[in-house]
Amino acid sequence: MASSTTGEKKILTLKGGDNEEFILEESLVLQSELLKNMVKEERVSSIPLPSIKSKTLVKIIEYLKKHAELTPSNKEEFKNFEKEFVNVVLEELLDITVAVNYLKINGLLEFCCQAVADRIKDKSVEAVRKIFRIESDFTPEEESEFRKETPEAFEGDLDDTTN
Amino acid sequence: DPTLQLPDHLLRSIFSYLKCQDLIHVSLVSKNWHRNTPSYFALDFDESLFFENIPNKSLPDVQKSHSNFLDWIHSSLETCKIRLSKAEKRILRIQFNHSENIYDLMRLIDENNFHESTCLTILHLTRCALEEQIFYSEEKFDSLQELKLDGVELSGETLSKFISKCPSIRELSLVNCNLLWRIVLPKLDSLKKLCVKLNTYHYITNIQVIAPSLQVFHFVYSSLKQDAVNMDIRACRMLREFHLDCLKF
Repeated sequence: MASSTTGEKKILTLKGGDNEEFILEESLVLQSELLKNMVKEERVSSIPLPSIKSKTLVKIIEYLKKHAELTPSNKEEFKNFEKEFVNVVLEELLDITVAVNYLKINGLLEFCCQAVADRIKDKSVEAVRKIFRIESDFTPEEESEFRKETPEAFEGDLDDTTN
Repeated sequence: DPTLQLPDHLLRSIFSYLKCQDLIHVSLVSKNWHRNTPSYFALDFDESLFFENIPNKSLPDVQKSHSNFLDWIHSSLETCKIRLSKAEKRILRIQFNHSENIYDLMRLIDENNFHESTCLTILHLTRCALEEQIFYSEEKFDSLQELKLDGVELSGETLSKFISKCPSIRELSLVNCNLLWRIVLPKLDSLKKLCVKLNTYHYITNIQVIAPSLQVFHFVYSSLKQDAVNMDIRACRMLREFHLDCLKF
């Protein structure tokens, strides 16, 4: 990389959806396949990411920094950080997942998908609808058929919507 | 519905982390979720149903019953081949009655192209025996994500050999496996969950796991024997949950 020959760290600016700018070391964004290609092929120094909210971008940059600092000695700390990272309200978790998918940060994407799946796991249909704020768009006939065919899918753990 | 912002492939990839029971629920949540629920196809075979019908349990009758059971699996797989190959999650659960060696089964799986990448995702085997030589062939279980061996007789070498043929494995359960004194799991990059359960009649001396993405490890060991278990899980850097349940420690 050119930066290593000059001895200076290359700086890159990311622009979030609300035009907020984030200045960070270029080496950090190389964890994102999308940004890596942009940086390497087009040699840009500022990348607009209008589809990503600044709040989401802050989180992702935080992750990239932590991940870059990961060593065998602080893995415990990193694990706790990861756990906390996805411990956010559902809408935010989905925003992060969509952004990470767009940026192509592979390890993190897998982790986010797993975290979303964990919120579906072991819940009844109604509980999942409540957590994800989804209104059923099946016809009343279809709906009553489901309830007749698989009553157990609608039973229990309705109160278990804490996350 | 905040999930409408997710592209279909992302929703599918989230759902791929869920098990059958959860997927049934997922498919009933909304039309969009229904459309993106991975299809699954599960086949269950239980030999005890055959065994019950043998009048005097004489050896030739038992052997005949066992071969009928294998024929049943074979013909069922053959019949369901097309539906099976269209499903995204393919599950095969087989409960044997005794610890028979199952060369035949591997042949069945072979003939049904279970080694191809579009095949078997979940395999549960109960009460049978596996020998190392059935894994000598070049084929791999590329698509296998979950393996459960319950009451299976196999050596540590056979297990290592089997597992080395399952590069995509995410979940591995070993419950009351006979002859399994050493568990050496070579480099398993995708393994997320490992469960080893042994009751009083089994014992184990060594466990070595090299799985950089392992997150959850359950170890239940209720043996009364004094022998210490030598456990090396240093390579599991992402381990976040370690459940230990032993009579002695």
